[in-house]
Amino acid sequence: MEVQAKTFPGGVRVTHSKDRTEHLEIRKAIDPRTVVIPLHQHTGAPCDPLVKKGDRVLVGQKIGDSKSFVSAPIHASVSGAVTAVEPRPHPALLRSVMSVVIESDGAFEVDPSVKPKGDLDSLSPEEIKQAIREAGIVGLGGAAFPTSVKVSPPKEKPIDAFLLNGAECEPYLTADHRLMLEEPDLIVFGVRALMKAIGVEKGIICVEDNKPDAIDAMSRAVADYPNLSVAAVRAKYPQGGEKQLIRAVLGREVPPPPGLPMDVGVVVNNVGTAAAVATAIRTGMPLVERVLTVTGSLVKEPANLRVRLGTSFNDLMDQCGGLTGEPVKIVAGGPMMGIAQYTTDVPAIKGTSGILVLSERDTVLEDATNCIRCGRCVRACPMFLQPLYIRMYAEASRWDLVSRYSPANCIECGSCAYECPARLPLVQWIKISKAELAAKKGGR
Amino acid sequence: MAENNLVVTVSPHVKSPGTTRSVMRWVIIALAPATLWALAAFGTAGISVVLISVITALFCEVVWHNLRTSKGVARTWLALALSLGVPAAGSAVGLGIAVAVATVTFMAAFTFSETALERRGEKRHVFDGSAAVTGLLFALVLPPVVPWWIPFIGSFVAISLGKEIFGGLGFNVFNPALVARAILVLSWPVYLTKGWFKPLVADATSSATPLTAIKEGTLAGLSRFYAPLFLNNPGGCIGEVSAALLLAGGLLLILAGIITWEIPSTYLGTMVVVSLLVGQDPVFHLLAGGAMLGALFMATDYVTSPITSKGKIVFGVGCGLITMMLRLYSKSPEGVTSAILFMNMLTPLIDRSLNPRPFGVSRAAKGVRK
Amino acid sequence: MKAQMMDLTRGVVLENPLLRLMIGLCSALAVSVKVENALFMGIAVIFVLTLSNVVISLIRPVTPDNIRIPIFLVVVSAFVTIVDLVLKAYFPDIYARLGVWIPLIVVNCIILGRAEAFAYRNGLIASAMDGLGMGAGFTMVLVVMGAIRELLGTGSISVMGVTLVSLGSGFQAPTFMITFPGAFLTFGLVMGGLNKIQAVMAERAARRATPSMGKTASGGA
Repeated sequence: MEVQAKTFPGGVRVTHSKDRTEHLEIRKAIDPRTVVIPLHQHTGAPCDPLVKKGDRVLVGQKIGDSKSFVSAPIHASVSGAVTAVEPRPHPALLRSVMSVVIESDGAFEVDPSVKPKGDLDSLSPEEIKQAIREAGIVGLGGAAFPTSVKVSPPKEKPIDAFLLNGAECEPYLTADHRLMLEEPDLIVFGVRALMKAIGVEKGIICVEDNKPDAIDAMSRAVADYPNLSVAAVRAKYPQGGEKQLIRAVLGREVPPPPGLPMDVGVVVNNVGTAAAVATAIRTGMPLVERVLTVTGSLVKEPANLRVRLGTSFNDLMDQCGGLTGEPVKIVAGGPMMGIAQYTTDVPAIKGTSGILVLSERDTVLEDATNCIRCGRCVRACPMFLQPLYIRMYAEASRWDLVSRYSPANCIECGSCAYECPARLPLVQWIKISKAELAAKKGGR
Repeated sequence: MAENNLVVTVSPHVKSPGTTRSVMRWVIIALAPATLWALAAFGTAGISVVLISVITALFCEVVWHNLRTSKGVARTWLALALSLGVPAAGSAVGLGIAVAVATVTFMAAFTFSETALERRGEKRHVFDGSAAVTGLLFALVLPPVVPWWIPFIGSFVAISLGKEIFGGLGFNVFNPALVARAILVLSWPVYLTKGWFKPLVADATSSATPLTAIKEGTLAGLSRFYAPLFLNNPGGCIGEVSAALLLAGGLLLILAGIITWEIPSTYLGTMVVVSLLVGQDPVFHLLAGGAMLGALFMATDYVTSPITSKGKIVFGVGCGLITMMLRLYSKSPEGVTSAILFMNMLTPLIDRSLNPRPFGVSRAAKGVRK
Repeated sequence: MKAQMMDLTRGVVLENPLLRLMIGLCSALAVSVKVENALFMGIAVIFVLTLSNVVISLIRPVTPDNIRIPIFLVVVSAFVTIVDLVLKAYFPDIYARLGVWIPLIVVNCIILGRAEAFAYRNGLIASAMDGLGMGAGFTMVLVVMGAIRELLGTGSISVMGVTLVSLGSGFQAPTFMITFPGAFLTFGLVMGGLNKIQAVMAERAARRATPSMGKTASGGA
């Protein structure tokens, strides 16, 4: 059942640019010959390697783990020999990170530990959480937060609603959209598993209204479950931010950091995460692959690819017909929050939702000019901040005044910098402010 | 890929098409109908005021930019000396018009050559149209029949003392065009209050304009002035000719998302309320004087007005109140200039006091300062 | 000797009371409308400042600390009264024009400020030098401002009925300059000018001190 399209205050209308890939079915990427699997692919403590050079590994075998609560194990996505455990370029951390390099033997032999976990009714919430943790599942929306932690809220924070994030508000990206069209039942299974693990009754699947076919598909998939519903949300960036989603669908506002959605009784998970949870329970296969969109005006044949984690950007761009020109920017993720790469010798990791190859026309490279105090950044900010003042005081290094404007509340969505007519790098200044104030320890 | 030309910046990697330049362009487009109509009404007088004002503003900005960035300092000082010295010398000798034409032509040529040089070099666009907007707005608050050096000096003052001396675009506290007008009214009051093309007189025997007459209480029915004030007012500043076209321009800016509704509506609305309270004609007050131009184009200037919605409403109400107070109780018949300048001064305070409620903080808990 | 020269010259530029210490501004802004007014005011201030500094320095041993301000006021008012009566007698039109600003010299921040900060803590000669220097600095700025404002604001400078400079009859004077806003603007520009001169001189001194650094990084603003 559908509810009228809801929305949140603030945000910006962006050009979607999804037309090249939104109708393309997910296709399996060509299996890579080598994979580079970083040991730090999630928010939280990095993993320690469990293998060393020369070891033979199988698909789904655990190759890295951490004893920390906020963490998730890492698994091999191919079978073959470990040729190195060494620092390698990383697409999100933009520095070299210890990674496991595996040379595929082409056999794709599956590790014996990969076994179906059983019926959803027969699994207890604890068992589901354990399965999620063991499968190394993290938020596939981009933040890569360990899912097992997210579905383990403390008892003092009761949860009364589960939101499935099918907004996919970033331009260019269409992986979640295609997933909802092609595997709605898998997603619903994952949703039910997550809800059982948390212990929550009501579940709402949220989809932006620029994807009416996905709304239909998901509505049909939840028809048999009276406690699940589909909510349409107005297509506005950053609707996919979990705080904005909760605000739009439930009208609740998550308190400022260290506040979390659980403080207002909600847990939000991405569509891809739900699918990964379903796969982990149904087949036992941990998180070793994901769907991502390779697109941009310079990609000859853009596609939605199901990719084995660790496949290099080079391989993926080649599989899409190569490039039709000299790229100006190559972005991992979406254009609003994605990370510009300095090399394409980086692997696709758990949080890589897309690879964008942008030309000079696609992106904006203008130098910053004076702030004209137009206030567009203030109107655009979905967290009700005043980016112009944060930048003004940060540039003057007046961190005492910067803290008055709460840069810690910023979700770095980029709406402010998107709108700014003076092309000021507002997000950059806010990131700098956050770092400065955190370093001052206790700077609010 | 060992070597590449990939650009790495912080996100976002796409931006909305609007730039400072495009914003300024919209303002000029919105002012165009009213301006062109006025030029048609005032002929060469009006054209020369607008041209001199805009060219001087552009020249002045080029001079400041060059001096601030130390580009071509020597030739800039020379150009400045010539453009100020030649008219001074020429007027002393009594060469009036010839000197004016020569100076303005020289300024235009210098500006053009400097901007052409700039475009060939840096990617950074300094000439973003803000000087042109200031020059145009300043011309619109002048009467049409003034000596050529009034828009000349006024435009210099507008750019130099109204904007550049504060640090350039975005740093000024006061609306530059109004700063210049205020200084000029104090310097040459006769020229700025008498140069009407054809005064809109209260009646055939007196020579008072309607605004002065209403102040002196010598006028009862003002509705016969509605049509001329709204459509074609020959007795006012260049920008006051057609309130209708100004309104159209203002609505265009609101629809294009360049300005927001808060300031114009609260400014004009407050004026209506106050005039009703004191028993004067609200329609007349809206149409007379610089209220339309001020509320739609001057008070809404980004740099000098508050940035939040609440702040803008306070600003608009304040402007309206002060305008009416000055019109009713002060010696001068017009209050828009001083009202806007005064509220400009209060803008930093308004911005500091009226901050948006932070996300996730309930209205009840808002009083708790972090 | 060198210290005394410092006392004398300090108040002229380096610690100019108006432009650097920023005291005594109100009377300065009001009086600098005409060069004539500025000159007479300046001379009055030099007279009062120097002599009251001398007296206050002399009576230090018998001045109780907790009532020193009223004592300073008495001393200063004595000299201001002398100035007042002299002006009234010999220069009545100047007296009329300067009006209330003459008695206000008593509470002029420069006089009281220097009394408290310097004359009360230093010897006779030093206090006298300080008074002269500060007064000279005050007068200098006042005359410069007066010249600018009078010339631009009325088209000519005339002292004691003698026209010194005139811009001609065709000059339409911006009367803004002789208003208070004009005073503030002139003051600001004069201060800005001094700041610029000092900045350029400091830069040149720095460059001369380290010639091996080659081109300095500051290429302007």
